[in-house]
Amino acid sequence: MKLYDYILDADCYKVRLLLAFLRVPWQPVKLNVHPGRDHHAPWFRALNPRGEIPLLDDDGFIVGSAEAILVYLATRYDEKRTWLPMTPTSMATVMQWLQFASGDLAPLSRARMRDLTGQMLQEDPDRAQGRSALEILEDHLCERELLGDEWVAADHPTIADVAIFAPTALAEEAGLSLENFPAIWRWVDRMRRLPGFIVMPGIFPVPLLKHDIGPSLASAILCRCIVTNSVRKSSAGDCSFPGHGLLATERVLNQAQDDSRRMQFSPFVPI
Amino acid sequence: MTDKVLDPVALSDWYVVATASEIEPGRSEQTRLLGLDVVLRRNTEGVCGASLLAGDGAERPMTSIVERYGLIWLCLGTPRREIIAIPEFDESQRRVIRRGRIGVATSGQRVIENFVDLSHFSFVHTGTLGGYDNAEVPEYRVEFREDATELWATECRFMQPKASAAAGAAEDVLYDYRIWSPYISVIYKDSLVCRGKKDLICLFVQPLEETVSVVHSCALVHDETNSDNHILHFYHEIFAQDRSVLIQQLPKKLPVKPRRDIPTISDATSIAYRRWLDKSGLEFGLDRSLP
Ligand SMILES: [Fe+2]
Repeated sequence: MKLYDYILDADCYKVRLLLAFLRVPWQPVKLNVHPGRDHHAPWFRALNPRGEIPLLDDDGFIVGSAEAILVYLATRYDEKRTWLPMTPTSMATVMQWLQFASGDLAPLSRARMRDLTGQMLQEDPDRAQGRSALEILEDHLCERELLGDEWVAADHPTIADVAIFAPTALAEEAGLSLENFPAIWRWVDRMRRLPGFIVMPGIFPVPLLKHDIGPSLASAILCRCIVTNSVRKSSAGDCSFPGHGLLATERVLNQAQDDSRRMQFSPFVPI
Repeated sequence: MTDKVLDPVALSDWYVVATASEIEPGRSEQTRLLGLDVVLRRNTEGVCGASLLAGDGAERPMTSIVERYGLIWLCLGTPRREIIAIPEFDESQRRVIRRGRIGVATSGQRVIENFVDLSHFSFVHTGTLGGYDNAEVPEYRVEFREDATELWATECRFMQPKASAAAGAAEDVLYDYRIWSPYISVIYKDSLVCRGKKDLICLFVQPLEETVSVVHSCALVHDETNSDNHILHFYHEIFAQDRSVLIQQLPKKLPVKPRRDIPTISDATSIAYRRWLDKSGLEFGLDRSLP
């Protein structure tokens, strides 16, 4: 199985992520999307006239569009049929949220790629649209939690979660903080704990807690880290508090733990 | 842009503003440098010129524009020195991988400080440039060269799980960091393919505004096995990891006044870089307020 792939593309990551969850072996065909625009080259247009990645080639069967590829992979390779449940209602619900991922969340990916490739706009209209989509998702996930469900379209993770996860977890790269979206943040955290989960640049794994510490010690380390202008300032950032994202907080915390171990300072030393 | 009082230190230096091949004969491109609008235009003979764009649309031609290393270099004032010498661009056994422009919403100085910081490898580039098991940063030297116009950190040794696209196994890799200007730095690191030779990673920051930057970068590597696109993905992954950390750092302008730091070895380059910037008189992109 071959995937025409670009490492920084959120849609390609959707496919890589499901392949990892399903433990299906595959080979990348790496495209120079930026700066080379390989996806518009004649040889690629011959494979996919729409000039878009990702594109999957499974033993001669070629299919494009991330959501269509997710449907194909789940139908073909998920023997337990959980990633795309087949009852009429559950399948329709998954499809509805796949549409949300490819439509409503697309502005987020566009804004992100513009920023990433140095084409930033002062007032990016896609960013405002992306925020509206995140608000819809936040409300939906809140409701799901109230009903006792933790996932977007079913009582277990489906390809709708996978498709929505990529652009959502990369929102900070599009200049939108997830700080004011607590239900999204909790769901992102649940996604990262699924067996087989993989990252891409901009998405960090669940904190590797070296020492099993409680929340009070964790926040003590964090505070010290911030008050001392952060021990590893280059990587953790000269964090002001509050106002840095949750992802940054988590990284600071991770690094603070490592620092405290390496430098043998006690997080309780009064500052 | 109307005439506003500009930073004389920033104006007298060279910046990369484009990859030469981006602008074809007869074409032009608009970009920004130091908060000013710039038009790059290549005539049908292939010569690239630049002009400053005023608010009323009038163009003022710039004279200090040079094409070198496949990049377009621009100085908006009177250049105080020659463009950085990187003879390795002409060595035929090297491959030049151009990473294109990557935008980062922060000051260029933040980008360079992150680039020269060894301590972030393990946390940000886990699995390639560092790992949780080898987070120690051993001692290294920091020194000024070329009449203190360049800052170097040398003899930096670091255990890297995958130091380059061509690396097969984890190795102890020797690094030299060269900071040529506040916005330009080159890493010289051991090649794992051509023993005794160095691979170069060059970072050329184009400061669009004080806290908005475009990073141009080239890798000059020895690699006989991997495709260009494979190497490109390797470097795009690494820089995108840096970028996701950089966009979180506050304040976006780099503070240069001494703060209450815990001095550690791995901070030596960062402290030297900040002091060097402070002494240079540069204002653009720096936070000079006292803590
Ligand atoms: Fe880095």
